Amino acid sequence: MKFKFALLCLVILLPSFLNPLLAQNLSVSGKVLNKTTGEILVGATISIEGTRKSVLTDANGVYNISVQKGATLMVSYVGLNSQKQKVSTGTDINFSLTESAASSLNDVVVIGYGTKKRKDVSTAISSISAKDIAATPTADAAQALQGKVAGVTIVQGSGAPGGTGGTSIKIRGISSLTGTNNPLIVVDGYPLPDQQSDNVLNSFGTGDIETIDVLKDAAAASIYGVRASNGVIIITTKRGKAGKTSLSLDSYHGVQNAWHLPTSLFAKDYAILNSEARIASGLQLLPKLADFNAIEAQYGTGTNWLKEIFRQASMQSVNITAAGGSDKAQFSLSAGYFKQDGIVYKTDVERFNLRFNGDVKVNDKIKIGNSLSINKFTEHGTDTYSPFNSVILLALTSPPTVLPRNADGSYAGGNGSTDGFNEPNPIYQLEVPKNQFTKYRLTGNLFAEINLLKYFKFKASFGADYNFQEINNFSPATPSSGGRPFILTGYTAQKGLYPDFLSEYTLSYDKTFKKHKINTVIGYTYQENKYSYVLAGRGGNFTQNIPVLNDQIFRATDISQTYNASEDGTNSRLISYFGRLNYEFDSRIYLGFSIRRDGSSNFAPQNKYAVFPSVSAAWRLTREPFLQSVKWLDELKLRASFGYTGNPNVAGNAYIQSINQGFQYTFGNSTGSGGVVSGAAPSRSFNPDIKWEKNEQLNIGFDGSILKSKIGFSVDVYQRRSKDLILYVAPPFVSGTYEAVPFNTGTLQNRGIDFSINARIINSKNVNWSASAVLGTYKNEVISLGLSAPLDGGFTRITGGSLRTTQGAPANFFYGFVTEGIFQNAGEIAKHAVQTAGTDPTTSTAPGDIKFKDLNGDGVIDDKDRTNIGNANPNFTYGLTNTVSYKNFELTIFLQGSQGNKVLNFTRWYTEGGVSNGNYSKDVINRWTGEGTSNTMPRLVLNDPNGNNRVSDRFVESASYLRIKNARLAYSIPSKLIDLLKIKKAMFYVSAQNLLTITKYTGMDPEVGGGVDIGFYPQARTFLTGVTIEF
Amino acid sequence: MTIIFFKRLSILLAVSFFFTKCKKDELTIQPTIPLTTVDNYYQNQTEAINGVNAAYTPLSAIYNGAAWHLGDIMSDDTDLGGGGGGDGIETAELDNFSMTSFNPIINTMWAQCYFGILRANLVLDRVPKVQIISDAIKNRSLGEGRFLRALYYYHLVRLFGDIPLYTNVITAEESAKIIRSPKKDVYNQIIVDLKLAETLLPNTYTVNDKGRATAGAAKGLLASVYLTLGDKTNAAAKAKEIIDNRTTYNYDLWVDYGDNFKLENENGKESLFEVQYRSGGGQYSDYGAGQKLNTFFAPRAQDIVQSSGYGWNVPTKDFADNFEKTGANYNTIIDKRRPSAMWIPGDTYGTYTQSSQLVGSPLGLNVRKYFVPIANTLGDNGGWTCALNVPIMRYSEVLLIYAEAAGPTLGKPFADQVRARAGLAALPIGLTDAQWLETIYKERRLELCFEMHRWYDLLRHPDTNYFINVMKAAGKSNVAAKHRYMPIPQNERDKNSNLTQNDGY
Repeated sequence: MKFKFALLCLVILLPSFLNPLLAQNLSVSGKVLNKTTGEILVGATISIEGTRKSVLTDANGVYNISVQKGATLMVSYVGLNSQKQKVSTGTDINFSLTESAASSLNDVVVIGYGTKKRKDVSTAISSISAKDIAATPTADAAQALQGKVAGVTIVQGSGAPGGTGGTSIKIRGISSLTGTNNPLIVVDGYPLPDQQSDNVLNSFGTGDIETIDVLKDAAAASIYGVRASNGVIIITTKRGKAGKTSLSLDSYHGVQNAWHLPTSLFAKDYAILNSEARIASGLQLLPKLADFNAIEAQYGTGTNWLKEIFRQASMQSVNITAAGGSDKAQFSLSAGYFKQDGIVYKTDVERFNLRFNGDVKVNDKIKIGNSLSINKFTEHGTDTYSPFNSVILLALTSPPTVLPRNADGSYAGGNGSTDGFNEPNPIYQLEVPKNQFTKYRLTGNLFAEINLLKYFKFKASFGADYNFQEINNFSPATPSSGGRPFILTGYTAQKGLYPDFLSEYTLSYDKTFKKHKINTVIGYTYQENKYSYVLAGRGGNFTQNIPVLNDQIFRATDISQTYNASEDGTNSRLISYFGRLNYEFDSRIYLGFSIRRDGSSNFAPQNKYAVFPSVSAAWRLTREPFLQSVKWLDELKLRASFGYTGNPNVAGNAYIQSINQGFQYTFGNSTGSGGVVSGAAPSRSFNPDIKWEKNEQLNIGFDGSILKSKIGFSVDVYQRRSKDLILYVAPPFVSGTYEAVPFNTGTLQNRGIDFSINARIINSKNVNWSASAVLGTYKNEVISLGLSAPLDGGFTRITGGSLRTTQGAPANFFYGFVTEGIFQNAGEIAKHAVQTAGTDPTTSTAPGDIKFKDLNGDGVIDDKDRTNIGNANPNFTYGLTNTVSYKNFELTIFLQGSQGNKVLNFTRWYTEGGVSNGNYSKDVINRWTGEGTSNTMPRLVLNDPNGNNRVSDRFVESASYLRIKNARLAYSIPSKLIDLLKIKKAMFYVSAQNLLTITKYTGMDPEVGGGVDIGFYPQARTFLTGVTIEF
Repeated sequence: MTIIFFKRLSILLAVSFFFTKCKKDELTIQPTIPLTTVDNYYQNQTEAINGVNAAYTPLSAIYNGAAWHLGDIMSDDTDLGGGGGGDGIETAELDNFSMTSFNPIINTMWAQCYFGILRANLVLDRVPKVQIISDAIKNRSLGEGRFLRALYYYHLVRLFGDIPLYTNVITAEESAKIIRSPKKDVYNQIIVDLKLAETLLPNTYTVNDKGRATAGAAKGLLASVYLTLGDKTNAAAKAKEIIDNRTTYNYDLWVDYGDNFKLENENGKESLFEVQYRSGGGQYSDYGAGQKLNTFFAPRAQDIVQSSGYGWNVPTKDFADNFEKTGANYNTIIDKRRPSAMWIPGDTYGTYTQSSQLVGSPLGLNVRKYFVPIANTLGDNGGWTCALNVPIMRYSEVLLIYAEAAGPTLGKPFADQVRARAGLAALPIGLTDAQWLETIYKERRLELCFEMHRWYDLLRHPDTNYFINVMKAAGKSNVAAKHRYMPIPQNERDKNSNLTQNDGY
């Protein structure tokens, strides 16, 4: 069908090829140089204004073009100011381009199905370049964006190597309460499927990236329609330029260490405190711990479990790129290898990536090209995130009086009967189970561009994204005298396949009539996404300890030896039409309109198509006569836009009432586990009207530059409202069903300001100093939850969780009790409200316990006394980059921070007593031990009879931070030496990441995704050395 | 130029719209795993049977998670027991008559009954249209649908009074608007359903289908419904019909009362209908396949059942004192039913001896009826739940229904039959009707103890204040007239503004 469509378009527009051009032509040639450095510029674009005709300069910086008399030539080069000149005679015209001003007005911005110059943009789009990315060596492009783009909040919630713990990217807050809040990621025109928490950006080599453009407002993003409510990140990879082939090598090597680890109690203190807690609970002392001095004599300070599981780890990266080509064909090839060991023992990632981008001019009218990237990503991970078995939590709580290994080298660990602690030995957990996650990804497209008539361009593009993932978990039966060893061998293997296909056709039209300029594009895309997996596992006695599912290896001997296999999957299709019309008057007034219509197979039959219009306008005041006289003001542009985007967030078939075939009952003489029969009935109702979530956004902003473009700035103010939010509403049980049904109900709002400024403070022959700063602030508020009850989530080990979303507050605030210090004596307990409804306060509460505030004054502390005790949203986030160069040295310092964000530090739930019978945090030394001893740290008692550990403001901490995210000192070999070595460039650098973090937060790292910290994988402090050489 | 452009653009747009039309189909795609919907299911015999099976499923949850709290703990037979403090606080509310419309146990009963009702309605709506099905299975399925719907409504109407009554496949919208129907209409529907069920259902089943509803079960339930309504004539007639045809249905009393509660005797000769459980393995769940009463009723923390035993549902002194005994101590009880019904101090199991005082049980009494010991060898692989079925109606109850409904003269031989098995003397001749009722009430209390009937017996007594007087005497000072009906769950009323609340809540 779509091929026919393409053919039709061709047939319709074919006659335009036949129109011959009849005019007087001149042949013009010349050389293009960089005015500042005097370098020849290879691959600069020379175009004829008002036409699509263009050529590139060759290896000597020389161009040759045939042009009509009176036409205007324009020369452009990335990072330099474009220049224009009218052609009157057929002589040589040489150009010397100056370096662009800080505001980079002529930089090309990718706007989705097209490009624009920065000065002509009427929507809110931020861009960062390869140079910015290269300054932060990381495997994960998302991390490279942190603090660089105003309004984009990046939280690296985990320091797991290679960004595998997920890096959250939120553009202007969140837009959905139940759907994805990840922006749409478009790589070389390919909109990639959302992968929820799986990191999309760490599968690509960051060295391949030329630019990242962030479409922030709805008017910019609405051309991507139903997937764009969280904004769009467009990644453009490096393409070859005509000229001499260049070969470049970038390599770095580094070491990483944890920068802040909490301290646990030493052996003697642990024995004292453990015994104190047992006495308070009326329990016998553990005989092993009863003699404190003997403990110290035997164990010294004891096992430092954190030291056992953390290590100094290495990382390295090598990337080789070859690029070049002729006027007719250009290519860019790259190969990369990245390996990072985690600072947690036994964790690592490894990545290979290959890329091939090519462009071929078939003739003056037709250009074809491709992008292709092939990656393999392997991760050896461990559980550092679950509230039960995270190895970091195990290390925090394992007693210091327990050893990792016995004298004979076998695994030791805490043992229930002697240590009162029956959790797995963390070293055992790291060494014995083998978890491997492998991701193979091939993403690419082929395209053809055909110039029709003078002003039309037709482009067809076909692409595929093949993502194949393998997860293998193997836990061989291995003895350990510690808690819960693997007695039976377990092995599970999962293979998941995510093929995605795209075909896309666009027709664009560009035309200038005197002062009027029109630029339009219309298009059609068809994208198909599938996901399927097969999962199989076995548990039992394996004849050999190797991970195989086959019968030869596996011998079942009784019922406890399990076997399971399952498969599932989804598929969906998106068919879309879109159009955009941009009108420009005299480079002064800009108007833009766009519309997209998305049809999704996931939507209900009567709501198959979603339509997303937008409008934007800009006014360059500095082009007006009344501002011409203001000499210090170089550029001032006002922008305003309004538009709609969407969030698909509809599971396939949500509009159908399906049958749940999972019911079971028993018939026959079943005295054991036999006799089971299956039952089938609906367990949920359905919503025949289910549709996408709608997002509307108003954006007003201005861009400017002053003082000969020494200072550039940009400010945006926005309001975005997400309407028709999909929330799950529980049915009345009288319906005979119990599963909640999705409804389009609820409204969420974000209001905020994005601010960025950059300045070239010193710009002299030997010394250059430039700085840029970004700052973003927003306020999130749930306007309405519609039909839905408040949403609870967060920490899964506590009923009701720790986060709540309800009307009139920011989404996901911390929901808990307010504390009022500590009960100092029995009199205070008697006077105060009963701490737990239905209990006898004389037995459940004792002096030294936390006093919870009776908010509703009913004399009982219960669920009604929980309230909003803070949230993880920062007041603002910011980034500050300073680059200072002196001769051949360049120093870049990048500061990044977040202000006003809170973290519910639930690591302390584990380490401040009551929950685990294991070790305590060092802060517990200052606990309550009698009247007046403490008003913050409660007494020690096992099993927490007063519920001191319930979610309360006691655990809410300020997590504002400022960190030197990255500092780099680079030295480039002087040009004389370069000539001698016959190379183009050589640069050596040393760099440090997370060099210094200023924060009051007591946990391992103030960057906590979601705001509830249970001791996630902390970020490392990294030192690296690297080299970049271009041949 | 511009004109040409727009001309071409319009052609292109026209073409696009043409494609829009034929793309509709492309936006409807098959899922990777075939999807069964309410509309395409129920096509053949297997699917009809699976639909029926799902209508049985709520029984597991009702009898694990609500029936004994309401039927026994709320009555004068047992108290909560357990660990004290906040342990089982929602059950303590029932025990002490401080329940509110937020009580989760009341909510469970409400919800699970309606799950069963919708599923039964689906069976009754769809099975008649199934083509590929034998007549025997079709009739059986329709009979099971009727029987189960009646059983669920019977639970609801006794507990809540007026309730939403529907016999169609209700939509979510309708369920959010439905009003409460009068009790009378509900009972009428129950009777209609059971009368049809007794004609549609088979008398017996082959091995693999044992546990499904039988004609006898429908008749027994109908007799119970008539008795609850005070219709003694019909109650007696229906009970007599079962007794007279007991060989047809294979009903008889076990010689030993305790045989009723053994794994190997499940669905045995005394059973009219029982909840079918199998071992749920290591999982603890009200909604799973296993029975959790074993864990919850066993002496607390004595490790004679899996998960140590919780000691809930503790028999009261008043209840225990009803057993005929020769001395002051419980070990002089002569009633043969006692040893398999209740632990008393001094009872042993292997090396275990029940002590005279346990956590939650000041007199050392515990329910033993559903005891499946930790070392049981009948394939129950332990964990939190066990495989033992829970009786809903036994033949001895049919005998007692007849005895009660037929009066002292006609009923005496049947009551005596039940007493004889318990090793007790025949009842005296010449009791008045009032004395007879008291006698049968006491006999039911002992014969059917911990089988979740007692609260409903208190409610159906001809003296409408009977349950109040009994419970006050049992020391439950909070009990009041409003407790005849439980509160309608508030979360249901939040979703349906037409649902009125019972008086006093």
